[in-house]
Amino acid sequence: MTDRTEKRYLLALDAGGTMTDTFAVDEKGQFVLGKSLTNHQNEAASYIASVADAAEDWGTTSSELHKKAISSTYTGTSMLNILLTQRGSRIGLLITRGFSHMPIMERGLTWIGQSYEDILHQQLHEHTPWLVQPEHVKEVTERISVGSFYMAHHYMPGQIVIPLIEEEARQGVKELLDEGVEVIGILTIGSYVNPMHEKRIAEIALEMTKQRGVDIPVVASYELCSVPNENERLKTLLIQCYAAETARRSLLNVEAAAKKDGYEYELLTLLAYGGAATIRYPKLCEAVISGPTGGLLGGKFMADFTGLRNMLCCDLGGTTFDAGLIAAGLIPVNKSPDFAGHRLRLPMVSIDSIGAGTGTVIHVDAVTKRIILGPESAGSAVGTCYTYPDITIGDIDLILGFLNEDYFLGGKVKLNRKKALQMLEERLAKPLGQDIYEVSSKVLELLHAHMCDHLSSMLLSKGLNPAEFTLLVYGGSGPLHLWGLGRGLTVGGIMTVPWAAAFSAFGCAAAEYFHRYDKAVTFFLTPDMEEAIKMYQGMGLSAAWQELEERGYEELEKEGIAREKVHFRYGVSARYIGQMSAWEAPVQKGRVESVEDLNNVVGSFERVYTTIYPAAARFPEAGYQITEVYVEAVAEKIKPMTLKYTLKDKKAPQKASKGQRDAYIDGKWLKFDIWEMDLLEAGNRIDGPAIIEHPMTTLVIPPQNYVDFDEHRFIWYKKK
Amino acid sequence: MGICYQGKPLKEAVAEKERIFKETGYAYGLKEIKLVESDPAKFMRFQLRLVAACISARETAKLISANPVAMLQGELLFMLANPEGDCIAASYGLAGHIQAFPFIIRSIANLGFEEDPGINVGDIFATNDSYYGAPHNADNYNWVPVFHKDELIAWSVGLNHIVDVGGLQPGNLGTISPNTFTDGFIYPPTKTGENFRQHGWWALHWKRRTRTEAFNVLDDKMRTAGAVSLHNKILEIVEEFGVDYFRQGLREVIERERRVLVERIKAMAVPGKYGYLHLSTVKYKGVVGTLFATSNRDWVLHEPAELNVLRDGKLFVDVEGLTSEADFHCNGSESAVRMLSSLGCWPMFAYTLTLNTALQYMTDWNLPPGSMFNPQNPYAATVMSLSETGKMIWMFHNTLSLAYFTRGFLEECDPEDACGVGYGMAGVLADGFPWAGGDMALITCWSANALPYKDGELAYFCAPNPQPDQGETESSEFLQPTNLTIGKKFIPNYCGHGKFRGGLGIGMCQLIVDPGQYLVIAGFAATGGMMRVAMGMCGGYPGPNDIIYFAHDTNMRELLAEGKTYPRDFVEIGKWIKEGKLKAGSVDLFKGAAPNIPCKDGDLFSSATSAMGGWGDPLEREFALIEKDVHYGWITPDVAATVYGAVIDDEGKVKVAESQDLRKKMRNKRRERSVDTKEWWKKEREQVLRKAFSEDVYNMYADCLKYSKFRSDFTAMWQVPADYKL
Repeated sequence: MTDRTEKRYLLALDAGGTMTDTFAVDEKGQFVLGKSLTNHQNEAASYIASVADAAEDWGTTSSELHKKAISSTYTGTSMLNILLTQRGSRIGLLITRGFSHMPIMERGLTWIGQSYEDILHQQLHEHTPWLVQPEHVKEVTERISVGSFYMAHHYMPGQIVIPLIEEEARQGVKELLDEGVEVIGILTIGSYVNPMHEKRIAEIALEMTKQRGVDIPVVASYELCSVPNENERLKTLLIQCYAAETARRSLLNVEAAAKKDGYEYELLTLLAYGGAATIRYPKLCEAVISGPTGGLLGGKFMADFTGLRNMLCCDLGGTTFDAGLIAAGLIPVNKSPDFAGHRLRLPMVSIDSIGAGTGTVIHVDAVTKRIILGPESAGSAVGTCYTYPDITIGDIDLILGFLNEDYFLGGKVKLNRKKALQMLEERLAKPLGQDIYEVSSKVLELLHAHMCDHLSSMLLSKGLNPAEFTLLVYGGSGPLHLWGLGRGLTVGGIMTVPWAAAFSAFGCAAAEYFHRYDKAVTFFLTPDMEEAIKMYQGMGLSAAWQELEERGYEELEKEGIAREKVHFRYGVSARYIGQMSAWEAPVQKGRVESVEDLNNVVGSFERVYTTIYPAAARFPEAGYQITEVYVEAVAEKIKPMTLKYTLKDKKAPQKASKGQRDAYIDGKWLKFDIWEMDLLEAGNRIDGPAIIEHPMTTLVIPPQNYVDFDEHRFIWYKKK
Repeated sequence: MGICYQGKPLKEAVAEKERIFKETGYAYGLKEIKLVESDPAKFMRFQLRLVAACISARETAKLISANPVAMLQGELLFMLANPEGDCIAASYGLAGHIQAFPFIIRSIANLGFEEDPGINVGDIFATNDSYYGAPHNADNYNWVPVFHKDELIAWSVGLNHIVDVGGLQPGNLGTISPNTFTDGFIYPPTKTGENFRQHGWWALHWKRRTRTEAFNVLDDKMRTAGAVSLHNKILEIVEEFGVDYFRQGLREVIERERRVLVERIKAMAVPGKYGYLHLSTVKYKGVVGTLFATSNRDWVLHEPAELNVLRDGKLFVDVEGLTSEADFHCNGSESAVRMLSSLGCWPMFAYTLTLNTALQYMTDWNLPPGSMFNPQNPYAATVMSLSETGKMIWMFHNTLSLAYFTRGFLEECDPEDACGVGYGMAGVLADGFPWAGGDMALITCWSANALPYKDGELAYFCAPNPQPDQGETESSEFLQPTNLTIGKKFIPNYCGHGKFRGGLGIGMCQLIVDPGQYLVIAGFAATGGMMRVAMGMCGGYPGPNDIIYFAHDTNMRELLAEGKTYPRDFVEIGKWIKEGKLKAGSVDLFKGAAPNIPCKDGDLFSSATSAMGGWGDPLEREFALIEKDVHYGWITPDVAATVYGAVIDDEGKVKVAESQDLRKKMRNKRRERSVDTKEWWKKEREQVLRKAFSEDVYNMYADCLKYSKFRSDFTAMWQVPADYKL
C-alpha cells in the first residue's frame, strides 16, 4: 500500500433516487463534478460511471483518480430501496412473551408522512408492509422492571420481576432455524435498563447456530439503541435485521469495484447523524438515510468556513424539499425520526422533508376548485414539457421563462414549451377562469409559501430566530426557486454555490469521522436532595460517560484508529421530573467531580429549555431527571478545502453573457439578462432581472435583487 | 365601546353571527366569498399559513407535557378561532374538541366577561365546565385573546385531556358519578393569568383538587405555552396579509368549507331518512349504596337517532326518544354532542384541508330538553358525557355508510362502532406514599370494522384522534409501576365475523406487583354490554364487547417463582383457571365499565377492546382468506369450522369438499331455526300488550314513551292503543 500522504484526491458520491453525483477535490481545493443515472440493480456500475464522468473534466480516468484517492465516501440508496421493494432478509424475532404482535401493531402509527386531509380520511390508512412474518416471531417468558417516576418508593430500574425461561428461548431458536430464517433479532421489554435477558437469549442463539453450523447474524436491541420505547427500538432492530446486511452487500460490491479500479482503502459511508464510518460498521442501520445528511454536512462545512454559525440549509430537488439546520455551529439531532413510514429510535440529523419539488404535480379539485400541490411528483420526467403526463411546477418554471427549453441539463434534454402552455391552459387556467401566466405565477407563490412555512415552523419550534440564520440553498432546483424563499423569509443572509447541484456529494467529502453512543440512565436531582446523594448520582453519570468512551475506543480501534487519535464530545438528555420528553444538551466536561460540575450539567439543560419555551414553562420545583447520556467519539479525517480567487471586476466578463430572455414576474413580462455560471468570476456582481444558467442548475434573480460572487465564488443573494 | 370590530361588544357579535346565519343560510351572511373567488391561490396560502401556525404550536408545546395521554397518545390540540368562537384552523390531535369552542365563547359573552373580569392583551382564560360549553372535565381549554390595536381579532386556544380529574373515581373517565359534585374538579370560565403568564394561585388548584398534580400543572403549562406561541404567530400572519384580509378571510374559511361539505354530501349520499339505535347498560345498583338514593339502580339507555340527508346537502339529526337525564355520569351537553358526533363526520365526509367549525352550519340537531343530551338540572353529572354522546359518532359512520353504499361508493363506507378501554388508578405504596395514574392505550388505537371489500385493518383507528397512537409500554409503565404488562396483543377469534371480518380486538394483560397498602383500578369501556350498532353489515356478525377482567387471589406469583409462564389475555386467564393451570380466589368480568376494584399483589388485570362488525355472511368467506387467518393465528381451526364452515386439516389447509358439505348443513340448520316474520311479530306484540318486560327495559320504555315521536313510532310498530302506558 502506498503512503497515504502521497494521495491527492478526495472522492465523495451521493447516490440519489435518480442521479449519482460525484464531487472530487484535489489537495489545492480544485474540484470537479460528475453525474450518472443511478443503477439500483448494480450500484457499483453507476458509482464507477459517475467517478469517470468527473475524471473526464480533468482529462483523466476514474482509475487515475482512484489510485490517487485518499478516501472515497459513498452514500447509497440501497437501504431505502430494500424497504420500498420489500427485498429484505427473512427475520426471526425473539420477544418478551405477550408482545409478539408488536411488529404488526406498530403502535397504530399508520399515518406517518401523510397529508392533513389524508390523515382525517382514516378509513384509507394502512400499515407498512410487515418486516417480519408473524410465524417467525417467538415469545420468551421474562419481565424486567423499567423502574418508575416514584423512584425508591417502588421497584428500581432493572429489577428482574419475572425470571427468564431459557428453555423457551431454546425452543424458539430451534424453530426459527428450522424455518430457515436469515437473521435473528432479540427484544425484551426494559432491556435498556438491564440487558441481562437479551444478552442471555443472544448467547443461547449463538450457541445453537454454532451447533447447527449455521452462520447467521444475531442482533439484540440493546446493542443498537439502549434507550426506552419498545416500538421504536423494535423498528430499529428490524431495519438492522431486514435491510442493513443486504445493503452492506451492495456497499461491499461498490467497494470491490472501486478497489478493482485502483482504490486502496475501505469505502466510507455516512451515518444518519452525520458521522462517516467504514461500510463494515456493525450498526449499519444508522446509515438508513445518508444522502440528505450529506447536504447538511456541507452546510456545516460552509458554516465553519464562513464563521456564520447559524445556517438554514435547503435542498430542493425534483421530488422533495429537504430542510435542516446548523444552529450555533451544530447540527441538531432527532432521536425518534420517521423514515419510510416507520418510526425509529436512532440519532438522525434533523431533516424535514416535504413533497415539494419542481416535479410536484398540480391539481385543481373539481368540486372545491382548490389548487392542490402533490403529493405525486414527475421526478426526472420534469412535467408535460418533457415526458410526464401531468402538469407540474417545472412546466410553470418553463412557461414563465425561468427555465431554458434548450439548456436543460446543458441541453442534453429538450423541453417542449408549447406542450406545457397547452396543458397548463387546459388543466389550470381554464378550470379556475384565470389568466394562465397570472395563475401560474400564483401557484409558484403557493409553493414558496408552503416551503417558507415549513422552514419558519422548523425554526420556531426550536425557539430560533430566522433573522439570525443564513439561508443556504442547493440541490438541482434550489437556485431556481431561491428568490421565492428569499421573499417569504426574513433571514440574515442568503447564499448558494456554483456546485449547488452536487452539494450533497460535497457534504459527504466534508463529513467528520465519528461514532455516536447513547445510553439510557435514570438520575434524579430534586431541590431538597442532600449533596452527598447528588454527588453519588454524579459518579454514576461519570461512569456512564466512561463506559461509552470505552466503546468508542474499541470500535474505532477495530477500524484502525489509535486511541490517541480519538477525542470525545459529551452530552445529556434531561427533563423536569415528570415530563415525558427530554431535551438534549451538550456539556463541556464528560466527568462530574464536584457539585459545580453537576450544576453545569443542569445549567446546560436549562439553557436549551429556555431557548425554546417561555419562562412560564419552566418547572424547577419538580427537580430534574437525566434520562440519557451520549458520547461522540471523533477521529481525524481529511476534508475538502475551498479555493480563494483574486477578486476581479464587479462587471461580469462579456464572454459570460448569453443575451436576454422574457420572463414573467410580479404580474408582468420583463427582459432578463442571461449569464453562464461557469464563466462568471470572483468579484462579479449580477443585477436582476437576470438568470444565471449552469448545465445542472439555474439561478433566478428578480429585478429587486442582485448577487455577488465573493473571493471563494460563493454566491450572495441580496436586495438592491 | 366593545372589543370587536367597529367597537361592537362581544355579546352582540356572537348574537349577530347566529341571527345572520338563521336569516340568510350563509355563514356570516356571505353570499359571495370574494377573497376566495378573486384570488384562490392567495387564499390557499393564507389558509395554509393558519394551519401551519397551529401545527407548529402543537409540535413545540406537547413536549412539555408529563402526560402520556397527551405526549405519546396525541390527546391535545391547538387552534385558532375568530372572535365569535368559530374554529378556523387547528393542529393535529383531538379533532372533535374544536366544536365545543363556539359554545364556550357564547358563554363568556353572555356572562359579560368583557366588563368583568375584562378581556385584555395577555389575559389567559380557562375552563373545563360542560355547563359552559366544555365537553367534560377531563378536557381542559386555555385560551388567549389576540388583539390588533384595540380590536379583538381572534382567540388562540390550547386544550388537552388530563390524567386525573379528582373525581369519585381515579382517572379521567369516571363511570360512577351521581352529580356534578362527584365529577371532580370543575371550574367555570376563569381568568387564570395575565401578561401571558398564569397566576401562581392557579397551580394550587391542580395540586389540591386532583390526584396527579405534577402532570396536571405541566399540562397547564403546555396549553399556555402553545397558546401564547400561536398568538404571536397569528400576529405575524395579520402583519403579512393586513387586518382587513385577516378578518374577512377567517369568515370566508367557514363559508367556503361549509360549501365544500355540502357538495360532498350531495356527491356521495342518497338523500332520505336513515334510522339508528344504540342500547347500553349502566350499572349503579349496589355500587353507591344508600348515599345517593336516586342513583341506586341500573339503566338501559335508549339512544335512537334519525339522520335526515336533505336534498340541499344539509344534515338534520333527530334524537327524540332518547333516555331522560338522570343522576348518572352519562348526561351530556349540546357542545359534547357536537364535538363527539363530528368525529364521525371527519372520516365520512369532512376530511378537508383543516379542521374547522363549518360543520355547525350544515348539521342541525333536535335534542329534546330534559333528555340525556340536554339536561335541565344544572348539577347533572357529565364526567363521562363522552361515552354516550360518543354513540353519535357511530350514528354518522353507520347511517352514511348505508347512504354511500346505496350509491356505490364502497371505499367510502366505514361502519365503525363503539370501542375502547381505559383505566384510572390510585393507591398507597408500602411506605405510605400516595400516587395515581391511568392509561388510555386501548382507547387511542384499535382495530377496525370490515369494509364492503376488505377485512378490517388491524390496530389502526381512533375516533377522537385521526392520528391513532398506542404509546409505549416502557413509558406508561414508568408512571404506573404496580401494573406490570405481560401481554399487549390481538386476541384470536375476537372480531365480528363475516365474508370480510372485522380487525381483531386488542387485549392487554397486567400482573399487579407490590401495590403496597392499597390500590384501586377503575375501568372505562365504550361498549355497554348490550346491543351494538354495527350489527355487522349485510349478514356480517356484530363485534364482541369491550372487556374488563380481574382475577383476584391468584397463585401467579408462586407459579412464576417456580419457573412457570404467564397468561397473556383474559381469554387465556379464563382457560387456565378452567384447566386448573392457574388458581384464582375470584374473578370479576365486566362487559363494559368497571367501578373501583381493589387489587392485591399477584392479581391479574386484563382488558380488551372489542373489535368491530363483519361485512357479509361468514359462510361466503373465501377459503383462501380463512387459510391465511388460520396460518397467522387470527382464527383458530374450531372457529373456522363453527363460524365459517371451513374444515381445516393438519397442514392448515381447507378441506374443500368437506367444507362445502358443512356449509350446506349450516345453511339448512339456519332454515330450520328461522321463524316467519309475521309469527315473530305476533308473539312479540303479545309480550308488549302484557307489558312483560324485564325491570330495566320496562323503565326504559316508560321513560321514552314520554316523547311523542317515539310514542307514535312504538304504538304504530306494535299496533297498540295510542294511550298505551307503562
